[in-house]
Order: sequence, then C-alpha cells, then structure tokens
Amino acid sequence: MSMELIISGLAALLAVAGGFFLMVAGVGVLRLPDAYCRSHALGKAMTLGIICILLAMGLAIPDLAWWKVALAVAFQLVTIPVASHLFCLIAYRRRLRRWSVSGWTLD
Amino acid sequence: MKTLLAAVYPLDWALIFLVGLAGAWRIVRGPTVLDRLLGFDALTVAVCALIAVHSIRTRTADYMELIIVVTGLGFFTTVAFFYYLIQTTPNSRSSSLDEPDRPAPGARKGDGA
Repeated sequence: MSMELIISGLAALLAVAGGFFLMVAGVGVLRLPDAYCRSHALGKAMTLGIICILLAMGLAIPDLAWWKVALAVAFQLVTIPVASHLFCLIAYRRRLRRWSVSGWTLD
Repeated sequence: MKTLLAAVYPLDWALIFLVGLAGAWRIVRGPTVLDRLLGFDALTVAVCALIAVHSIRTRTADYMELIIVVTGLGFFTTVAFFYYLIQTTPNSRSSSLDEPDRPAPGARKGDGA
C-alpha cells in the first residue's frame, strides 16, 4: 500500500516536472529572437519534458510493458535532437542572421 | 492517492496546451519557413504529450503505439521537408562541410598542403 503511494506520488511529480519543462520550451519557441535559439529550446527542454511525461506514464499505469516505454523514450531521444540539428544546419546554409548580446550579426 | 494524479491532469493539460498554442503561433507568424517547420515540430511533441497525459488520466495502456507512431510521423515529415528545402536552397556555403572556405583559427600560414 505504501509502495503504491510512493509510486503514485513519484508519477505525479514527474508529470508536473514534464509539463513545466514543456512549458519552458514553448515559451522559448514563442519568445526567443532567432531560429538558432528557437531550435535550441526545442532540442533540449522539449526532449527533457517529453521524457519526464513518458516516465510518469510508465509509473502510473500498471499494465504497461516497460520495453514500450523504453522504446518511446529512445525514439524521442533520437528524433527531436536530430530535427533540431537539421533546423540549425539549413539555417547555417542559408546564412540567416544571428542574434547575440551585442546585436544582430550577419556572419 | 489517485486524487493527486487527478489534480495533476488539468495543470498538465493547460501547460501542454500552451506549448501547442506557441507552436501554432510560430507556424502563423514565422519570419522564415524554418520557423514554421519548427512550430510544426513543437506541435507534434505537444500532441504526443497530450496523448500521454490522457492515458495517465484514463489508466489505459492502449495509446502507447499511437505515441510512437505520431512521433515517427512528425519526424519523417520534418526530414522530408528538410530534404526538399536543402535541394531548393542555393547553397551559399561551400558544398562540402569537410572543406571549410576559411582556415581554422588556430592554423598557421604554412600549414596548408
């Protein structure tokens, strides 16, 4: 009984953390000034948030096979950074102007 | 203890819905086509997270394959669009990334072949 309570509380904590990190990534996609910065927010914070939510799903649902959760986590962990890297690569190829603290640079 | 997970559900739903709205706003208002593609990717991840939160709420394990399939759909859409973009973009850099068009910062003058 106590074990079930601990697992449920951990699942709730992971779900809240995942929602928080996803919101941070959404604010970054919405508010950052540059395509490079936006893909950076997408590639790091959003991966962390979706992995937290998938782990919470694996903890909260008893009849869920663990290899399916591991497969989904591995798939997210591969696909989102690769997509983020592709954005940065084609922005680099197109010579988009970059934002820095001292202002916009055209490279 | 089910009340704690039930209390988490609307909070997570609101946060992830904000992520989806941010992606949709980036699709509408992106200055370049890259920003629109990036907003689509954010929207796909938000859809995956909403499916996961919904299946936590209803305690079913039936949607796990749906999460994997939606992730694959978003990724392959992004890669296909990227392939189209990189074929239609006039390449303003050197054609091969292995041959930089300027010397490395640490290279001395006599180093080249």
